Amino acid sequence: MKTNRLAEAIGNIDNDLIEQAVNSGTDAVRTTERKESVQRRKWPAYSSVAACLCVAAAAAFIVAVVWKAGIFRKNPAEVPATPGEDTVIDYPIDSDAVLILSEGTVIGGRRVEFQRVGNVLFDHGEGGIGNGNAEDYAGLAGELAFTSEDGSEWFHIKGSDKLAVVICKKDGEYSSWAFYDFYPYDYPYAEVLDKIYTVRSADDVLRIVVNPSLSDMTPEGQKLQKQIGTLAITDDKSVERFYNILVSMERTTDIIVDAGPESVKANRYLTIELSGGTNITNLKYDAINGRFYESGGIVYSVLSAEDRAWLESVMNISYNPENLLPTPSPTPLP
Amino acid sequence: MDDTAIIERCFARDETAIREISEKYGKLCYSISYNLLHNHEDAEECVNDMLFAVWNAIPPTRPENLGAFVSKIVRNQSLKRLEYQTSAKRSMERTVSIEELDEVLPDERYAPDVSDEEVGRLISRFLRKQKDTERNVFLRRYYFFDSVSEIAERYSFTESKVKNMLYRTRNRLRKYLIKEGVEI
Repeated sequence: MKTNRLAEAIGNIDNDLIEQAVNSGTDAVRTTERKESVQRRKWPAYSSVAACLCVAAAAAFIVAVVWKAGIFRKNPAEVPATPGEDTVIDYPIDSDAVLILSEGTVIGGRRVEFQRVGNVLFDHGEGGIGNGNAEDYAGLAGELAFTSEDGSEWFHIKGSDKLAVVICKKDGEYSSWAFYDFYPYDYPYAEVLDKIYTVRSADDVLRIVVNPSLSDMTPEGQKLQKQIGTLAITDDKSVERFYNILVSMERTTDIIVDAGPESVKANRYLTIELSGGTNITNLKYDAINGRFYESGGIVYSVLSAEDRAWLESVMNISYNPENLLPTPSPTPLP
Repeated sequence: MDDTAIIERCFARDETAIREISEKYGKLCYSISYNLLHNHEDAEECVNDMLFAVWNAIPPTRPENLGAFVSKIVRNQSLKRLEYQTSAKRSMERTVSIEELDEVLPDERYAPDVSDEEVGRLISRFLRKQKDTERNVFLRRYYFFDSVSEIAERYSFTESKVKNMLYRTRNRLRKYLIKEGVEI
């Protein structure tokens, strides 16, 4: 399978068009849009009244049809504008949920990557369980977590009360989904610990295993990883302080750029082992930027200097800030 | 820092130029790459590859528009990486935006004697005939690979409006490419 040639050809369009598109949609453009919108509203009064009546009649019809169909019971934030479009309805996580097939990427010919259930994004993946076989997933399904209006059932993994990985049964077929993110992207990490992993105090954390970063897999990088080695934070006081740091941070939409080989010295990949057998495996610490992050572009808030110093001490992190100029890998020119 | 000053620093082999490019355009380039690859590490690597490529390309190249120059490089790097991943069956993922372009002009209908540069020029000409908003929405989707929801938010449109706009522009582009002999 190749990428499309037309996609490559679009990369050759004129620079000024790209520049305009970069800056488009800024406040200035929105102001213009708003002005146009205001001008459009300068209709004769009777037109407005007629339009309102039409809209009201249409809305009443739609509500009646939708209500009868039982598509939603609670307050929807958004409904599809035309039939066949993706449905996006906001639900709190603990309520009955409607599934949303996100527009995303095509996996194995199917247009699914994420499903948003309420304010939770699930990533279509095995989440470290099973081997992709639907029958295996059926065997892994435990207690029912929630149901959707389309008849799909979502199960916890057998013996677990967490939502880190869930099994979906739709039209008799089972698939597994892993927690990816909350939407919108501005929430405290405490929400993830609470809602997804049912971690409500430091007592729920058994220990924190600190592994070297795998960002550089060259022989030099692997040698460095061996030197750094793995350590575990197990004493109660340290685990509690670690937990308190985690609950203090917030998801941001910031972007951090990899600092090259130096990041192996400065970054650590964590495995947070929880009581009940589930582990949190996607958190990483970046000492250069002083914050935690995850694969997939999830970046948390910058920690206080005091917390950073403590973390870097307990995780045995040392790096040379003078070597932080990005050191790109040697690849041929495009 | 002004783009001209950054370029001058590159010519002077001053490595702080790379840091300036990273600060000024890193976010834009990361988002293009991430929109395509959906992987944090891959996107970061593409941004780093871009910085390396820019360092090697300037001098002798003196880009007129540094932002467009770096975005083209990272887009190209990311498309190549996506192609490598898909052809090596490392991943079965393709972005929906590329699927949509496949519908406009599948590779098997691409005239063999027309270069990508030529098609780029034709698309530029086509886009100049479109309304500003339609052109920018098209580019946000197929140059920057933004999702429909991101575009809707950027322009304060509904997602439905964005989808309809893209659908109409794609149809017009297809007719234009057939007329120009690019699509056979």
